[in-house]
Amino acid sequence: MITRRNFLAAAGLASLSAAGLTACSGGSAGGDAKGAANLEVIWWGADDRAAITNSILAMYGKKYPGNTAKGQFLPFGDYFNKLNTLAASNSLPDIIQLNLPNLAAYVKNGLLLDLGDVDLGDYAKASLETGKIDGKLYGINFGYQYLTVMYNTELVTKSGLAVPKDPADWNAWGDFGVELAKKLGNGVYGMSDNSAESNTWASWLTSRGKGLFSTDGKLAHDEGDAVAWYQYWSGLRDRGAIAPGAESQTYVSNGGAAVDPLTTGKSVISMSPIVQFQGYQKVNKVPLGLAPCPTGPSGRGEVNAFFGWGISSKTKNPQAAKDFLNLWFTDPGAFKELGLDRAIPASKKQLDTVSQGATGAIKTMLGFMDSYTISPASQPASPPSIGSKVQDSLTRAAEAVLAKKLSPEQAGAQYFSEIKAAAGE
Amino acid sequence: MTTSSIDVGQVRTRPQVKNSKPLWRRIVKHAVLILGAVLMIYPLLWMFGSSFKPESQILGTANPFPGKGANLKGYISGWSALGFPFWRYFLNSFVICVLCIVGNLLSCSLAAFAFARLEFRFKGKMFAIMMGTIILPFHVLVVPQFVLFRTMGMVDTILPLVVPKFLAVDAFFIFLMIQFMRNVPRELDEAAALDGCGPLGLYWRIMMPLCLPALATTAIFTFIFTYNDFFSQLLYLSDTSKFTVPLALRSFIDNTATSNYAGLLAMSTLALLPVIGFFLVFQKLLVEGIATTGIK
Amino acid sequence: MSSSLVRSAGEQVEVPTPGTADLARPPEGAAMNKKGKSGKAGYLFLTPWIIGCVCLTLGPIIASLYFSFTDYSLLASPHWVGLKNYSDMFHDKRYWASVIVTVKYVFIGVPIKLGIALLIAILLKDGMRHMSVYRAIYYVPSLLGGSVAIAILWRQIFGDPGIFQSFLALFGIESQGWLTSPATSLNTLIVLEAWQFGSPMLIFLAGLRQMPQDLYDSAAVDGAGPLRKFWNVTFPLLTPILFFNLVLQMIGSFQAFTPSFIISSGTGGPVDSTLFYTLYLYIQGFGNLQMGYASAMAWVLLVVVGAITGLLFFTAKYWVFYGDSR
Repeated sequence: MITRRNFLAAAGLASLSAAGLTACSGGSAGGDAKGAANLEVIWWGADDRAAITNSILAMYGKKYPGNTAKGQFLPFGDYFNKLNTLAASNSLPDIIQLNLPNLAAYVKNGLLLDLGDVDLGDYAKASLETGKIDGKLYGINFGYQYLTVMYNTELVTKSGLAVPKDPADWNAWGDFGVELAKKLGNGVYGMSDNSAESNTWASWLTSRGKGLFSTDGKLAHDEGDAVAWYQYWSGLRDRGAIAPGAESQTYVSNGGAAVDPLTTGKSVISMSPIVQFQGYQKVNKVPLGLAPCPTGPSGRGEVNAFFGWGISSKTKNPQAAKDFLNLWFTDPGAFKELGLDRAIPASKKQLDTVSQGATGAIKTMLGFMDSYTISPASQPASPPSIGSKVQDSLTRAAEAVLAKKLSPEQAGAQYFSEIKAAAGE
Repeated sequence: MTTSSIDVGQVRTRPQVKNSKPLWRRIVKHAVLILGAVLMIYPLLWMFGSSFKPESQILGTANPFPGKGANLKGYISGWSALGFPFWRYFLNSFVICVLCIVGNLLSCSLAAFAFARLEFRFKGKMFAIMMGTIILPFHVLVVPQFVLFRTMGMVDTILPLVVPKFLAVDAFFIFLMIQFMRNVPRELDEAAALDGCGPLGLYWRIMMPLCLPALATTAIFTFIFTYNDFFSQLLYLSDTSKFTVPLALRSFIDNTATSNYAGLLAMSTLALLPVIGFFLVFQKLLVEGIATTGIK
Repeated sequence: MSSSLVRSAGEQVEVPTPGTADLARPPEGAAMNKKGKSGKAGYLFLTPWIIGCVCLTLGPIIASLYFSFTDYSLLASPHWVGLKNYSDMFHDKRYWASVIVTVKYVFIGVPIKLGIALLIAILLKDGMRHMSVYRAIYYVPSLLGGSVAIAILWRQIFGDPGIFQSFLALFGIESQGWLTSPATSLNTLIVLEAWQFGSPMLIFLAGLRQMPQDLYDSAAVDGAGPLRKFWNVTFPLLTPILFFNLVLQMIGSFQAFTPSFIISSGTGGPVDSTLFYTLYLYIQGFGNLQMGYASAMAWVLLVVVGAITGLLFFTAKYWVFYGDSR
């Protein structure tokens, strides 16, 4: 299970209709590399992801006899420090998993290969936008990520309330949380505190017609947005919708399904990128339900953020590495292995393969996807100087609010001044 | 001779004035000591006991003893929870430890011998520098050393962890050995010189055998420090096949810990065993080593 | 007293003890090496150390000073920015947070640790049955304390839910997560530090057991009670060892890294309450690839540790009792 801090997610699905359209210009699959290529692949994640990824690495070895692909994986917390030191010592693996906060920094330092000529089959062009920096494709998104509301179906039934009908705005969900807490009582709260979740934050901004960054790498939100954000969560806490500071601290500090109050039965609603649903369902004993993310003045805040593969510019076997990506994104066998592990597929064929005989959490996800039309916007990458500081600053300010060290207003100001300083604006 | 023993804790025949202390004071003293010992040992006991518990009885259960459901599942699942079975990480750790021990023994004893027994220009200044490096915060050197090892293409190998030990960077051990060599009578040097022994002969044939206790102390502490070291290993080792025990535990936390606390505690318990084992076997040397130099 | 007499197997051997060894001067060379060839031999024996010292210690110290004046990402060559890193540091709130955390950790943790160490050493000094068992139990944690496994254990003890919580609950005390609350998280690390009092305890013990008995006897004749005996006789004689322990433990604490890294998952949270100086240095250097900034931090650490050590040595003459040999 990856923690939900892993990527700044949010995205849409409607463009799946656009799927099955264009393939990127055809690079020659099959590989003309002289001699054997031994690829190294690195990603972050847990065991189940490792099992999936390793079996696709094995498929690659079979499809290209003589070539091999060897994987290594790390916990997210260590991943980028490690990747940075590897980059610094010129020993980056050939194929590397990256996310939105780090993509631009890696491109800026000349560490990534242009992937414009990789054959991606029917992969939807819309999702490719997320991996582009200055118009060039440097990373291929695993597919779509977008924010959803997850809820404990049993507790909702027990409360006798109905989940707000889409479109429901942030306040409607907040009110629902307050009602839930009132009806259920006994230390069960309505919502998990997502004030430190950058995915939720990005979605909140988008629903207000703002964003984390603009396409030219400038800040696309201001201090007022941040203040409103912390006020929203504090307000919910004051109204009893979410647990008091001390009880929320673990989740706010660490994130992730395992410590989410939703999982421990202390809250009914939490917000998380849809791809995390499987992980959530795995640790939750009761069936979870899915609803689209809240709306704001500018509609639903769906943005699709980058989370995908890049290829090291120092690779000795660029063609072999591209062949690997071709296999990953077009091979029916790989589709089967992948399921919905990293993203909602951006390829119609892949989605169809996954849909066949789907059960459990995957079935719930597919059912949800069928019942809502969501249009994604590509989230511009974090400028190199900011990297993952959005998540850092967001978390620290949120922790300070919980600990009553800062008021929501001060927290918003602190967050924004840090981001502004990092952006050099 | 020359096994200078420092009197740390062996019951000795001292003038027994002490036992005239009133009974209540002895009772209080023992009560404090026993309570303290329980507090000290409790965390370890809890970890050991909990590694045999079923998953549901671990979190927030203060009782260290596994009840009826005691099992070895944690050890079995933990052993193979990561990319490689755990023996691989133990092996990696031990290889590094052994090389570091060899390095420290050789290089530190050479340096100590020079400082203890030879005369040369700038000896005083060099000695002062050597002592100064004992208090030098390691982190001051981290960035440039990383840059250095990187230019030499040594990152993601065990060399940055091992090579410095062959260059006597652990001044503590030099100091320990100097302290020890000081007590070897100088008459031996002279006798050896008369027999035609050069400095090398004196070092190898006379000094080294006489310094065995100090060498042993150095070896044991090098093992413990290297085995427990996390920072340098975190910095220099990337490939999961080269992971050492601390690195493996670290990735255990993020990877599976949320679903496998028994496994995490089981592997953590195993990780402590080598150090505890070393302590039990070499207790006396360790205790004396501490008393002479104050290491650790 | 530069060395003390210890009886061993009926023989008198001089053994320097830590607080008393002359740290500033090397021992005299032996008679066989008076000049000439022996000078060369000295350098020959020192070759590994000299290479290590130049390449791995002195060179890096200077390089790190240079880096501290540059903007250096490792990926591109360093370029000179003058004092920018230092002035950035001065305005960096997280930097000051890390300073405060570290100072609290050192100046609260070390005295507690040494206090417990001294107390237990005094209780153990007269010897007793099962002495070696006590000693082992009190000492072993200091060998294990810095390891990842123990940090993992600490997460379980003070976590939420944690063992300490359920222990307090036995007495009807409701508590929050001790690690997850910024008000208490550093305290749990201080407890971890104090738990490792074993090695200073052994050093105290060694010192206590070498106290000249006749001083006690005369004190007893004077009718001194145990407290006065401790304060007037034991403590002054113990000050060299206390001094030694103080210097070592402080230097060690300033460099602590593993506990905060493991316990806070590398973030120093919550609200930077466990952000050790070294952890922030690591985050800046290897997380954000700001090697210049990290080097500047390292240099400030060097200067501060050097200054504190120097201060300790300077004040030592006012409170450290070196016996009648001085």
